[in-house]
Amino acid sequence: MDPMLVQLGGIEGAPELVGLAVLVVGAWLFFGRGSSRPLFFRPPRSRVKGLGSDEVAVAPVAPPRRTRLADTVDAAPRVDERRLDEIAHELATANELGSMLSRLAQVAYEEFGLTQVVVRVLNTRARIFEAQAFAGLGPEAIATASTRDIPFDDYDQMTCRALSLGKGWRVSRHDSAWIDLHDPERDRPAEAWSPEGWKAQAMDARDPGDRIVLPLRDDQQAVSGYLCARTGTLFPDNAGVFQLQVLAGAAGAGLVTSRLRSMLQRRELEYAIVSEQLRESQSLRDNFVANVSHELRTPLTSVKAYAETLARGSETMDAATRREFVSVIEHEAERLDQVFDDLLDVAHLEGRARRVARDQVDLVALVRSACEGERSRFDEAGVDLRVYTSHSEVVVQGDPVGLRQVLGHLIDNARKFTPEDGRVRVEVGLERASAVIVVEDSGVGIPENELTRIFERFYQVDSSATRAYGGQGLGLSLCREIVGWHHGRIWAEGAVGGGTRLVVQLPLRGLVVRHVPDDVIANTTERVHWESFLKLAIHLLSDLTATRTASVMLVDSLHGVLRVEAAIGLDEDVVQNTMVGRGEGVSGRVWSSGESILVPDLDGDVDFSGLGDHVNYGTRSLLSVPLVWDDEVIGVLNVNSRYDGRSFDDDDRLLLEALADRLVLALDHFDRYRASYLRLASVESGVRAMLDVGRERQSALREVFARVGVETGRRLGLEEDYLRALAYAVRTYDLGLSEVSARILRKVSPLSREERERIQDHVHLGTELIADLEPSTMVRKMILHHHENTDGTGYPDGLRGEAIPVGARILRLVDATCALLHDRPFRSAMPIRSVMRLIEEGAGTMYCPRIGPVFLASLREQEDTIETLLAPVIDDAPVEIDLGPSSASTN
Amino acid sequence: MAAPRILVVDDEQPLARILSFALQNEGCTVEVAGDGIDCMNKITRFEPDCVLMDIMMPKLDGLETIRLLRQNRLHRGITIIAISAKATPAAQQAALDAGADLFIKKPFQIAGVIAEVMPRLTAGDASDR
Repeated sequence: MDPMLVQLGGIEGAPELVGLAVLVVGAWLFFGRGSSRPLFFRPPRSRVKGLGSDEVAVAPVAPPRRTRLADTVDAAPRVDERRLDEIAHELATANELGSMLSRLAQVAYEEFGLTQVVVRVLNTRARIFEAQAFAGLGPEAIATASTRDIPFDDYDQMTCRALSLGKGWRVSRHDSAWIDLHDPERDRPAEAWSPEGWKAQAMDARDPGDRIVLPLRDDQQAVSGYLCARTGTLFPDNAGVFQLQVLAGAAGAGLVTSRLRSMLQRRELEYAIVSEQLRESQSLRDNFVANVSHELRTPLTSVKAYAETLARGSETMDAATRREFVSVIEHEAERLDQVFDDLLDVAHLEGRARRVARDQVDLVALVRSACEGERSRFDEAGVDLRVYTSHSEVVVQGDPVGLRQVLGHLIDNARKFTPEDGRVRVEVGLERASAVIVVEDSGVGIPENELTRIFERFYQVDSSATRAYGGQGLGLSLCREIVGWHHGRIWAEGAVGGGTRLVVQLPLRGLVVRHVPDDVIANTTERVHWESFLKLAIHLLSDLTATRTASVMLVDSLHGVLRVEAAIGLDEDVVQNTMVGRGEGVSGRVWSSGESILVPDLDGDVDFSGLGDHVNYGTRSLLSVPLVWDDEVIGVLNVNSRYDGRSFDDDDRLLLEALADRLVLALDHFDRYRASYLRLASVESGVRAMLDVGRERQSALREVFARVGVETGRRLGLEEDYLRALAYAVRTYDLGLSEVSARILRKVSPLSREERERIQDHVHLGTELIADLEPSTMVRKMILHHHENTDGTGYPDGLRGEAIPVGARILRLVDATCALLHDRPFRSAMPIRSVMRLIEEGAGTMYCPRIGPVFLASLREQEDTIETLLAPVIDDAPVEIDLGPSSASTN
Repeated sequence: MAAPRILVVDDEQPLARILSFALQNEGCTVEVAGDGIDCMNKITRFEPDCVLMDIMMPKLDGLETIRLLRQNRLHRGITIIAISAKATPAAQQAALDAGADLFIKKPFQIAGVIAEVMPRLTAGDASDR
């Protein structure tokens, strides 16, 4: 008798046998480890988890396709030789990895009668097996399998290195044995060499069959994946096993070819991108040289020409002309000097990363002195310069020399591009976590498509279209650099009525990112992306929650502590050195419990007063929420010190939890895409898009509407998950509008059809921008449909009544209220009472008749607050700063 | 002989000023344009004999302006002298290809510009009339 069939006898005889030990491999491979969390936080695998680990979960699988006992009388399944050849050839020469693997799984399922087929491929970088193809599994089981990764080391350990030798195994529960498919004589009893405790995991009563494990080997015979399937009651015979091994061999070869192919494609793509970048930077550099030589030669030409003229004919000139010529020479020489200064600055920047001084800098004083210094030039040019602020001081931590340089450039630029009788207005203000300086001119303006380009270093002045505001290529790129040192942002936008607004936003307190040691991130590009991701995340937290202090903590599983990865408003050494144990302080408790902690008032709180967290609390209210990935806490978000001094409440908790959901996804993306910098960049832009909304939606009034929206949901009895999504959506719903041209939004005249379409398109844009970071479709649906009318006349889909998602109906009301209370280019703001009446009248046509009244009721409760916020507050209006007497000033 | 008429096109106001000063001293009638568009607007009315054309200018740069001038039969006879700080051989050739008669690089000597411009004006007069 065939030796292979000897072992099969037992199974045929006892299909109902359950509960024996050996299934663990199958169950474990199948169901994977309990969780797969972002790898970034995975400790080096110095110890191997015992298979008795409590993490093994039992996932729902498709109902097994039971093979009746009678079937087994027939020969075990296999295919004829010719077909085998065909399939093997097909697999080995496949073009695309995914379809090749699916084909293998499908053949194993259809031709060999295997069930629950999963093909896993080794991710060599992360040393895990990732499920890539399935056959004979239900959608849920596929979802489970594909989110669970099998670490190579664990697997290898379990199979006692047999896998790394590339052997195929049949795991027989009945015989408690691993059966070497190559050498059936050498089957071993499972207990003899299985790691401790693994038997216990095999108790899955729903799983009566044996498993087959076939490794896929690459050209070096190293295991680069494997197929794992259940054999049911019918095990392939010797020839069948042989055939399966032939196919696995072919798939291994296919794996290698398709990998090479995709690597080649990726390299080609990278090469194309890099060479494009090189070309671009080469041409920028060429332009830089041309730019600088132009900037140097132009004043030099004047100096020479005027000096020559004076030297030749000064005796024939009248005194006034002589004086004029001399003053031109002086002015142009000064200009030369400025170009040299800029060049030195650039050289300085390029030379070495500058250590930014962290002094307390009062921006009001800085702006005042910068403007006073520029005053005479403004008078000369006939441009009116005014400075406004509503604060006696606005202090940031930063580099006074660098910031002074930024201001100098911005103010000087504004003057240069403003014609005579124009005006330049500088305003210093506070917006939540940031100090904001706006320099607005009434000059020529910048075409919209150039607004971001003007910050590019070496941005050239050569082409005629840009010469009008050229010459600032160097200056503005310097400004961006310096603002970047301060973790701030600078951008340009069109000013109302022409002209340009340059906005500088500086965090009031420093943002610190923990330096991750080189053995964790060795790669500079990865480090840059990681740090910039964290910065964005911190901005997002502090902007959207309006807090001075915010931190992202992640579990360092190697040391078993929580560490601050990045923070705003915390001291550098706190960020670098804080470690919080499980259960310690607020964040440690959030870690251990997995529940958010909201402390309205630290002093009055029995549990938390006097707690020893290493975080300095600015206000007595704090909020910490867990970052949860697959039921495991991987980190904690903390916020503290609201700008308005208010204590945190349940709305804040919902919002922070919603942000946590998204950051976890972003972290996961980050981890998964760490090998692809292109995709890392896309994760970053997703977070950036969320952040841009934070920037747009900063007014206290909008915050009130957001709260009214969430309260409406609460009164409607919406579930916690939905409320959380709503809390987020209500603050981000007009995301897409940031992509719609500001010119269109500000337009007073009726919009063209095309313009209207672009505005209507913002609901799509909005959902696209955030799609990558959305844990579910809830928010997407709310945002997508927030312009649907209940009578079906809205956009984009013309949905009606209850077909419109509840969240979208609430957003519709919030958005309308908000819009009516504000000035629009084509009409002025309405009083709150009229707005409410309009909303009431609109119920049944524009607004949902069921939700409308609920919304109005919650709105009414906030009426006073809204009135107060709407009332012009004299004290808050920016006050002009007197720049002092000026020599040429006439007023 | 009527005074030669010269249009100085340069967005650098001080340079345009000193060039016109020098040329007026030589007895020319001078008009200034701040960019290519301004040049096109003024040229028909002013009817210059010669244009001193800066290359790097806003709105419409010197090269484009020269091309436009050369496309128009009315302006074909005008002497065009390109003046630019960007004076690589390629840049000089581009100006000549566009239709300039001469390229002068910045920084220049006023005396040198006068020495180049004045003979061309009389020669142009002689052949035209």
